[in-house]
Formats: sequence, C-alpha cells, structure tokens
Amino acid sequence: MADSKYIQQFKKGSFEMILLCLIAKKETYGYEIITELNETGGKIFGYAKEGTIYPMLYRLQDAGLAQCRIAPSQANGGSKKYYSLTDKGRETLQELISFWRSYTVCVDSFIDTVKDLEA
Amino acid sequence: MREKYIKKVKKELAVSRKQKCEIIRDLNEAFDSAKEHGETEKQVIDRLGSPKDFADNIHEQFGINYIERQKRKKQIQIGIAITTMIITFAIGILIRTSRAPENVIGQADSMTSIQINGPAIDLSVLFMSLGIVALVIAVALIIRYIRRK
Repeated sequence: MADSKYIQQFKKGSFEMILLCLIAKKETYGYEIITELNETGGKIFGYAKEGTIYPMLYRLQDAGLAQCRIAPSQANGGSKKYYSLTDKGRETLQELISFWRSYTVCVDSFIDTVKDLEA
Repeated sequence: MREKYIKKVKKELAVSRKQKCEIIRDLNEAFDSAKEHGETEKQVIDRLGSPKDFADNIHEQFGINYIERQKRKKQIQIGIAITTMIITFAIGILIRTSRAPENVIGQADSMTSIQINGPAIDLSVLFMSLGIVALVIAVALIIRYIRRK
C-alpha cells in the first residue's frame, strides 16, 4: 500500500519542497538534512537515503534555489558542504507553501464529499 | 570497508566525471558525519544499500533518460574510434601499395641504381600508427562499455 504508484507520486511531488523547508530553517549539511527528514517524516515517507537526497540537492542548486559552501569540519577532520537558500529559493518556497495550503484545502473538499469511505 | 564501498560505487556510477567527483565527495562526507554521530561504517553501508543500489538510486533521480543518454554517448564514442581506425588504416595501406618498389624508376620493370630520396617521414607508417592508436582506444571503450552493462 505504502509503495503504490499513486503514493509514490505524492511523495515525489512534495520532497523538494520539504528539502527547501529544512534548508530554510537554518544552514545545514547532508547528514543533518537526512536525519531530520527521517526523524520527522520517516514513518510516512519511508526512510530517505543519501542516494535519493543528493541528486535532489544538486537539482535545487542547479535551479538556483539553494547554494552551498564547503567548510572544514573540526569534529571529524573532513569537510562539510553547508546548504542555504538563495533569495530565489526563499521566494519559490513562499510560493510553494501558499500553493500547498490552498491545494490541501481543495483536495480535502473533495475528500469530504466521500467521508464515509474514510477508514 | 568504507574505501572498498566507495571504490565500488565509483565503478557503478554512470554519470559525468564532474558529477561523480561531487557524489564521491558527498559520500565521504556522509561517512565522516555518520562517524561523528556515533554510527559505524557498517551501519552506514547497511543504510545505503549495496554500491549498485546506491548508484541506481542516483541514476533513478537523474532520470532514466539520463542512463540512456550516457549509453548512447558511449556507443557514439566507440563508433568514432572504429571509423577513425578504418580510415587511417586504409590511407596507410593505400600509401604503401601505391608506392613503387624501391630502386624502380618510372614504369620500368628492371632495377636501377638510382636512389630516390622520399620525404623524411614515411607517411604510411604515420597513418598505420594512428590506426593502431585508434584501435587501442576502440578496444578500451568497448571493454568499458561491456563492463558497465
């Protein structure tokens, strides 16, 4: 059920917006993004993996919505890529959120007409 | 364990060199960060799945067309290498066969002792060696193509 084609499409449609939300909150890096994503949404979305999230982050960068800087990491001696939103990213997220709000209200109004089907 | 995993991922990834570098950098960071948060290498690898799973995840995100495009690009490269090889070999052979045997002058069929000073570089050898280079490249590309599959 959780992996049906329709549900996959729901997830696909919202994942990038969710990533924008996580990056908008504060400057963050890959591991933190995935951990937060899984802690909050893992049960519903299924547990996200690096292989899925990285290409999305690259796409957000390519689209000019997110930017990153690489900084050395004191904690582990390596380096970390910190993501933040660009102005365009912030604007896009605002638009997406306002659309999402009206979208859910609209979809809910259809669902409400068949309330007796709801489990 | 980690090095071996990353090496295998590198082999599986069918993306551009630039993207591969970025993905491997990020994968290294993922291991570092996980360690920092108390995860073992084994835990990370269990989560990421096999190197092939990880690469397939990436490919899926880049889109199926992407994989097809990469495949097509490789086929074109092989085609170019083979065509170059055939043309350079053909030119080399042509130069060699259209040349009169040594110590023959004009259409005469008997030997003379006149020396002909040709160009310093034998063009047929040059083309033949270019052909061999193209052959080596073609074989290397074909091997890489088959191994990817």
